Amino acid sequence: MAEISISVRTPELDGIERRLGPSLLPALHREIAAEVGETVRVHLRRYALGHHKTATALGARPTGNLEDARVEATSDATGATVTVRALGIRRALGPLVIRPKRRQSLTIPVASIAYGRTLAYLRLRGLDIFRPKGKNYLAHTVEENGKARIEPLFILVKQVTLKHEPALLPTQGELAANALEAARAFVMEGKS
Amino acid sequence: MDAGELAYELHKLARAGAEAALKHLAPGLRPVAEAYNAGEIGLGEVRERVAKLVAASEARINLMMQTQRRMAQSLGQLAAQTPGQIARYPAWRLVRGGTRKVPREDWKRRWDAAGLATGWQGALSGDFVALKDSPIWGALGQGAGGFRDTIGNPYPPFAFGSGMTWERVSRDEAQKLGLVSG
Repeated sequence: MAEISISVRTPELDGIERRLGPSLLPALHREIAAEVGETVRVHLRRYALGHHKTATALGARPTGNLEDARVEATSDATGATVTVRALGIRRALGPLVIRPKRRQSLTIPVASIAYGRTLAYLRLRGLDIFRPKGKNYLAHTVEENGKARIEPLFILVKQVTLKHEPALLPTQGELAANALEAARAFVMEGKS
Repeated sequence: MDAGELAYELHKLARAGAEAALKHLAPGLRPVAEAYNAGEIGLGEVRERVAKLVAASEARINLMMQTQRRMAQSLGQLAAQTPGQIARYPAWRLVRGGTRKVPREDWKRRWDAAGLATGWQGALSGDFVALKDSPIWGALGQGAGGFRDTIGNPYPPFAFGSGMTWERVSRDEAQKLGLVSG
């Protein structure tokens, strides 16, 4: 599963760190990690709820890949890091080119039954899947009103480029503001 | 919750998930194992039959695994709580975290039942918001009101396949809602 790590550094944060001194840095970084981690978690959840275009178009159940994203906030004396693990999360950083690793082609689902499923899984479920001669898709035969009809399940492609999706994550500016807010609150709580 | 407790809870989750999946598959696996031991089928046939069993139980196993993942997410949220986080965000709001083809419409009844069971201690009746240490979360997970699909934990997803999760509520908002004083 793909993962990306987010670290936030700003001159203001550096200034707060210098003023606090090394002994308080682990606690400060823990505070920042918790704050930014929760912000990323909420952002991903909200993004996921509003982005099920393909599943909706196919009348299929969303895969829930982003809803199941793992967000881990870790910290130590040197800094805070938030790691996000989810399928396709690298789209947040730039276009993502996907090529088949073990097969000749990638399979892009075009039917509800195929969405979020693998070819092997559907075959195990008893579907007789074949590639019609001269076509670049995999299909199976369905019977409707006593007539057999070929239903395409997957289009075969050599590679796919997923477009850059910066909205998958909060912007660096939002995260920096978030981290700074946590740092300032940490300082204020220490004074009170 | 410290790192040791979190690791222990996650270990328990993983083990419970594996045991539940195995328990569900066991009745189907037994005849396959017996046929193999009797020399009636080979390893290739075993693989094929086991794969078919798993495929046939896909929905159930997926539900188990998804529930475990959502529980692990919540444990991660709890583990990330610092005194500062609790001070700045003293409450949770129960929100939908996953899309469902047919979302349950009974969360208001569940919330009301849990609220009544705990005297609305640290919880609002008109909104799914409660202090992080409110007993309402435990009551929700215990199925207050007679809901039998709950998991028994004081954290989301509370019930199998619920798709519910937490979002933090800031001190400002909690004050406006009357949950904390200024």
